[in-house]
Amino acid sequence: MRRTVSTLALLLIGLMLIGAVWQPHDPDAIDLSLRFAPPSLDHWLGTDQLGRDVLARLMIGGWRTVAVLGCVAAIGMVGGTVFGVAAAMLEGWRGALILRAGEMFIVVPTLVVALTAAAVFGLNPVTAGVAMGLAGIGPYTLFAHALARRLLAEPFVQAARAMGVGGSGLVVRHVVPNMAPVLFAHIGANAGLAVTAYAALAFLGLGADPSRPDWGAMLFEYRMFLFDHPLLMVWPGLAIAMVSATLNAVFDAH
Amino acid sequence: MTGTLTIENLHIAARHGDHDHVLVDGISLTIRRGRILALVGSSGCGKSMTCSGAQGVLPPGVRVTGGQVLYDGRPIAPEKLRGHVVAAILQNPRSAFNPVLTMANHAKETLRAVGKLDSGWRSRTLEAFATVGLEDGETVLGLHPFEMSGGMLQRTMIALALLSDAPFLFADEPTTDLDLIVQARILDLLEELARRRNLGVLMITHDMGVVARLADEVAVMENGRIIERATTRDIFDNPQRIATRELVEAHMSLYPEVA
Repeated sequence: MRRTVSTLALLLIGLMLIGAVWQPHDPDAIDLSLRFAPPSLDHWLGTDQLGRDVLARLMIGGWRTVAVLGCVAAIGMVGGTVFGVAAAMLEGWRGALILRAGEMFIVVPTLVVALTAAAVFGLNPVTAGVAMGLAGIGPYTLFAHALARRLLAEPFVQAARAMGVGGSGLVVRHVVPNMAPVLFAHIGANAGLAVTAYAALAFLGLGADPSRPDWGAMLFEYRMFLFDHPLLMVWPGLAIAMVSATLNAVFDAH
Repeated sequence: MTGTLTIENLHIAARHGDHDHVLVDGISLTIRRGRILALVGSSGCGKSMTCSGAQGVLPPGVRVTGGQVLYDGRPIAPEKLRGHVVAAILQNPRSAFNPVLTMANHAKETLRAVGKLDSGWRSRTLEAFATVGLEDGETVLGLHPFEMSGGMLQRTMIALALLSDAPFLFADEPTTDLDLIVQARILDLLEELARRRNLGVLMITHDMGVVARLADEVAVMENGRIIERATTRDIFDNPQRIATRELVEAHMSLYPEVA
């Protein structure tokens, strides 16, 4: 089960990444003679109200979502690991200070931070990803701290210390490598949320560049055709649901 | 006082609320090179704490409240002791190795910790493996802990201790988690190495069978204090204290036909 969902998640992310380098058509090419074309061999998922290829737009949205995920995961994981391990290594008031700061970060609502960042800097995968990643450092710090503390009490860490291995060696070779698998699985929870949060931001459209087809923006744009051409909303909706559900399943399976 | 490691008047306490709970209450021990000193006592008497305290690797919340360690009569800081002067062998070889590192990584780490990692690490490691009876050292280098038996891991841990070239060895219940046949082999190996390499060994154990087999002298601990010290022969022939007698009798009762 674990292997199946992990493989599925990697496969999905791989597919989403293709959009960065290749789309079947120009996603912005308007062809009014082809409005609302049903799925065909040439346009696999059909075309929209301007005759644009839906698959091409979905693929652009896909790799932009991966970019968000990458930022959220990298910032949350790196920041959380650095602060969490530091708190575990520094006994006493310095460690406690880091943890209290982490707890204060938890109450900051991720979506509100991301909304603010979108309003100030414009909505794109990097600003949204960085904002959500920073807002996610708090829980990661506490989680990494708990993991690191448990690892520091492990006999193999004690053995290494007794043989003269110093603080940096303990962190680099013993604590972090043994945390990594659990932390990676933990990304799933954050990443699943990040996908829906970014879709919500794009749907709201605050600070968004309308020419960039994010999945949430596609839902917003195609909502007018819900009854006449429901497939247009099904594709991005399905994409968001599948990706966030799979990422959550990876987390649950571990 | 050359070739000695002395733990002098060591006090260790755990913090409970606003008062200290004393775990080790003024222990003094001298370990001599080429000799095996057994520190015995029942579980919880503070013998492992004495060992970790001297090395400065106590668990969180527990600290040394007094005393010092002398190497050849001169005080030495715990971080200078670890690896350089004292190598350690732990009780459970299964958990004493980092699951994500190979034996080659472990060997390199041991050498790096004492500043002896150079291009000759591989041949020196293979030599240490051969000394402890690990055949096919090349294969062992590439193994992760889960691919090895408890006996192999314990031999590797001893090989790492030799690799550090420390003159003293702290062995905290080194055979408790091994089966009897492997126990006997590991004890023979430790004794042979102590004699041949002139290592001073502090052997922490509650097993008088281990003591009888290889210790030269014995210190008996109870409630954080040393209550009796004597040569191994005297401890068995003429135990002075009740706790000592109990340890000896408990051991002898395992062999009714001898007693």
